[in-house]
Amino acid sequence: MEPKPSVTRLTQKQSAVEQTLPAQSAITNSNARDFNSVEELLRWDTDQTPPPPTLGARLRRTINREPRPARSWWARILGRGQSDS
Amino acid sequence: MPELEEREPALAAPSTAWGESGFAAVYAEHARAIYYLALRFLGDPTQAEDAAHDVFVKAYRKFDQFRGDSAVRTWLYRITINHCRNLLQSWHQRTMVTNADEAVWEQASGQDEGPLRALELKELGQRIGRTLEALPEEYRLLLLLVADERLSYEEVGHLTSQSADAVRGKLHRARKAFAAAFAKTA
Repeated sequence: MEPKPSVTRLTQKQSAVEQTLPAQSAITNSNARDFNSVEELLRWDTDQTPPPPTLGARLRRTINREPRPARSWWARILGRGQSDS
Repeated sequence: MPELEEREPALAAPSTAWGESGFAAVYAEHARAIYYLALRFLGDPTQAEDAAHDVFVKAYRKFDQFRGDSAVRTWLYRITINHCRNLLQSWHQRTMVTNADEAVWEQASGQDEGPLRALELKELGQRIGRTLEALPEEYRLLLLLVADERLSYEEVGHLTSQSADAVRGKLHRARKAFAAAFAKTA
């Protein structure tokens, strides 16, 4: 995804600051970032928050103990499965 | 999007109910969104993992009730919201500010809706979590759903039992409340 304008501006500003005060600004500003909206912030957070690896394996074990469905999810969703009977 | 086998090799096995049902693909596509909603709704990673697991199991069991009137993502969100609400009720947990205290958030109306600046990204997730926990459930849920670009305002409205116009109106207040609470976490 392309960076938002304000993020780009901040990055450029940081570069200029870091050229003059490299050590200190690298510590204080290396992770700084602007988000243009709450939604953008939450999308960033979602990207940084994967589900635990154990969740998929645990779910797979549970599902494999369940009775098998008459036809698959995708067949139903795409409308190309067997009949409903 | 990467092939399922590349992302979750162990989950794509076709010789099991998990693989044959196609549910592995459903999980791979929606797990992050469902887990994130549960995490930010409940505020606890362990409880969120349990909730996400139970949501997908419910979805698997009820797949024959899915009519395709909505997207799978929307349907899974609805199950997640109901499940998390039931958990919160059973735990007698309450948000820090109830609807009765809405005036508190109205005071945030002067909050600037400009960019949110975060100086330390490594701690940002915790700040976001604390901020969302401080909001009324209605605002928290609204922001989390609207942040998912797959959902329209109409779909968010269906999930929160209100019109799309009401979503737009409350969203404005929810953003300001978030910005005010976020500033306090700095």
